[in-house]
Amino acid sequence: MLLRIVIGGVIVFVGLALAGGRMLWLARLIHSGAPAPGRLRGVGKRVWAELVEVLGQRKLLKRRQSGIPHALTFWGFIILLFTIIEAFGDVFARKSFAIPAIGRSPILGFLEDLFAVVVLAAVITFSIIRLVDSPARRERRSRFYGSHTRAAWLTLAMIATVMVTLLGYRAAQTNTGDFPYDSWAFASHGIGRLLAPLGTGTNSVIETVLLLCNVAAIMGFLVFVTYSKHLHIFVAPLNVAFSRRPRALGALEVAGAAEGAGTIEELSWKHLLDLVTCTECGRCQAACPAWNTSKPLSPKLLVMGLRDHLLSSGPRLFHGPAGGEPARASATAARAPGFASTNGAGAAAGAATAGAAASTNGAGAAAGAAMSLVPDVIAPQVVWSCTTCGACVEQCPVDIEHIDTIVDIRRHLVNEGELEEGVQEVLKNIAQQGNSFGKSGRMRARWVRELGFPVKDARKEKVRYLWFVGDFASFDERIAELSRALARILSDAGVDYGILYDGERNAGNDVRRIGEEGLFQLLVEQNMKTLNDIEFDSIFTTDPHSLNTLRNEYPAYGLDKAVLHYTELLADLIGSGALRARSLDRRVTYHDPCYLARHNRITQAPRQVLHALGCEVVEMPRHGLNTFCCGAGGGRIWMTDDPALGERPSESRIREAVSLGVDTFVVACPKDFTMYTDAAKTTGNDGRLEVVDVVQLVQQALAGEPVEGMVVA
Amino acid sequence: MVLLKQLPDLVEELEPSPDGTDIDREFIKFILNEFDDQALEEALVTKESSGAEVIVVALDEPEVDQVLYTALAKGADRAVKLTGVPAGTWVPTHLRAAILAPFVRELAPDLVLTGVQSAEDLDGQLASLLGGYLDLPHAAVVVGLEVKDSIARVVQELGSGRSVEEQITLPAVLGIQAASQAPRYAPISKIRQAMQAGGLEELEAPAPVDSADIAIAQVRIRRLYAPEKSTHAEMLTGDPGEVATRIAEILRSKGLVKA
Repeated sequence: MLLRIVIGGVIVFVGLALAGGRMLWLARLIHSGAPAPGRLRGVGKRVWAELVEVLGQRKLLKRRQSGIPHALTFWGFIILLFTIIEAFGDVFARKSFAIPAIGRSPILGFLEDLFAVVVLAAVITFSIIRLVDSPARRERRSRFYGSHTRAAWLTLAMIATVMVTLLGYRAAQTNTGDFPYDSWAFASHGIGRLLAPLGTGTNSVIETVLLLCNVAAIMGFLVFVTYSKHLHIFVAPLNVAFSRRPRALGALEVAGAAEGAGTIEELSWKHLLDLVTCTECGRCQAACPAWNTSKPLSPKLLVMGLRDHLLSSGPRLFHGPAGGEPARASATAARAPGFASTNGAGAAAGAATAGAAASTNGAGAAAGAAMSLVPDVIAPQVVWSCTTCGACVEQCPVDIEHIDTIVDIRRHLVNEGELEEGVQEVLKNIAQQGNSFGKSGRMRARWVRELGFPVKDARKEKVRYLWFVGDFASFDERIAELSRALARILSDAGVDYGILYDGERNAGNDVRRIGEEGLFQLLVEQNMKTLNDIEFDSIFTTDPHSLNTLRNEYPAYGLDKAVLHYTELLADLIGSGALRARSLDRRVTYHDPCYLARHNRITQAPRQVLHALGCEVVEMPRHGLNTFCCGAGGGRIWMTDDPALGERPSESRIREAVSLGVDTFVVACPKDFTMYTDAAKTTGNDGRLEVVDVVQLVQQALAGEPVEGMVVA
Repeated sequence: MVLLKQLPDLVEELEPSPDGTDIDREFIKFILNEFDDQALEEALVTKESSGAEVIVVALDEPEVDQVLYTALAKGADRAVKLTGVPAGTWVPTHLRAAILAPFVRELAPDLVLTGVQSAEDLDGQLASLLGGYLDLPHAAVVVGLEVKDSIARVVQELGSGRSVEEQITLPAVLGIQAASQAPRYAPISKIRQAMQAGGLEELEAPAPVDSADIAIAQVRIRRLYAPEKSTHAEMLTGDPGEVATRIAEILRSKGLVKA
């Protein structure tokens, strides 16, 4: 017994010292981040999040195959906390230790045994998943591509060791009389029967050895966890608790100044906590439109690159800079090969992982001057590949806020003038004329001229609905045609609406996501000045991006009106009987715009409209909240696509739709109309798949006209 | 010193003013002459490579404050707006040079840069007129500049793909065609910071150079006309022979070829 206490004591003391020291160090590291205001506000919804996201494993269960075994492992770990108490009691109190009150309950004994077996089964399932989706074989298509697979295998091995030693010493206990549970602890008694022939003496030795091994495995695992990506078992509940609720989509977080984050400590502490919470599961990567079309960005690899850099920055953050220029140069040199060529999937992946390579190399530089996040740690192409579609945020089981971090980094680049020339031009146009088309702001409402009837000027008379038309729907010739169709439908239905004419300016959603925070503020001020002076009940927009900022970001600047999408308005009109359409009898598929579905949870209204028009909606595999981005968001529509970097997301999407066998691809976003009519052509599917806007279908159904070919000529 | 000039934004629909002697400047937006933006960039690049103070100077023209603050946000050290000059109307290049010359002489900068030309000065006369008034060496269509001590190594484009490299002893006046890098982006937040910080100097313009040239150059505009709408392009189809015949006919009918 004394031997047990001595050996056990040493193991526990060393384990706790190592793990505790590491945790304190990590806490200091995260504390060095910039402020993240409002992260404790709303305790109720944060507690609810702990219940649903952590205990309920909501996001993990989106992927059943790995989600169910993960949930069982998680719940198992909670139940098995009792076995840790028992093991410590066995080591330090007495051999036949039992937890007071409940320690001899058959139910607890059963649950402990059950979950020990279930966790072992889960470990086997995880192993199979990792073998089937092996990054060595499947490369970029594997969600584990770029993850630390050896650490993952080690984790599984350690969990298995804990379970095997647990069942082993418990089985031996059944033969030495130290076991507190009756036959309901089925596994322990079952294995115990196998060990019984060895005799009580041998079983006693087995009990002591395996018990100490179990404690050692637990403490070893504890230390390993604090030094690996498996840290999530401690920090994920914290990260979930501090995350934006209900989700980090919709509005952007603007915690810091407009200058953004140029070095790691300029990211907010929440976003540093994000980094150490990442468990490299790759759900974000598997959903990312950039990664899935061979672009250099993987949200997971971005987070990993930043995390490795954060961990290597500890000495500098704690002790201040001490002249590290040479080391910085070597890090840059080490990165060069990964960046030099970006053609092909492999090289593109190289660019993304280069961040990790550079920062590992930068460990030497850690004590020196601060490295810039871009380009020292992360390649600029990585940061600019993001469409801010939110697929990563939607998927992340531990509530990492990728978009906020990416835009924070972009803000710094914009502040330094480090952005594509074409984008600079667009931003200048928006600043000068209020639109991205480089046209005179006075021509914004020119599209109404061809209508043949007047549209109310909301600046001059009160209207029920203010139509915030947006740049594309005003200035793009083809989309202006859709705007006229909507104007006619609304006028015929007797809807009281008006527009701002040349008083409207770009709403600023994409401007803000490019990182031009100053211009966004300017646009908000200009639009709010107009909106404050006029009378209206609610706003509807053509563009989901405008809707997003008006609905989620303008309220901070005083907008207190409901903001609808035109598909919601059309659904209302159909629902109330104001619009009566004949059945079109078409089989269609509908593409959910990211900023409508994921960012604003509007998925039903457009489908209601389509059903009312007699359309059968055949869903694409990626639909609703799991929709796949067209590639235009976050300012990407103004950036150049490198044709060497594989297909565009919109082309991947068109192929997805064609494989369904439908002939109509319905969109509800002006940018989607542009992106997909184009992608239908470039993929050679323009004869097979017709891209139409919801409003065109409504128009056809109302007019009783045959299907018109204004799309994809 | 960089001389900046505001121009009507050409994306606007320009129309003759009611009295017909100028374009209607009331409702249109004004932007910085794009070549002046190049000149500013070259000045900032020169400042970064050889160290210098950059002073931007503009006449009191519409929306010029924004442009001057943008220059400050980009890294210019001083911004001067010359007031008391004809505003809200077309300033002929001769007059502009005559207004600017005394001011430039007063500040005596080592180097004066301006855009090679503008939509209102397609001949690109400003740099040479200024050089003339100030009795300084000048060069136009500059596409390369390197300053060392008091010598500027200048690359001038001559056209037809030829260029000449020369050395000019400073001070000098240069008309910049292209800076060595694309003009930098000034984020709006920095421009607004510059605006909040103030620092725009408003100075009364000195009396223009009194010269016989100016009187001669003071052209009076009698009447402006909107460009006539030309007819649509005619697409020529058929085999090459037919197309060639048709082209010859058109050229002949317009009196462009005799045969």
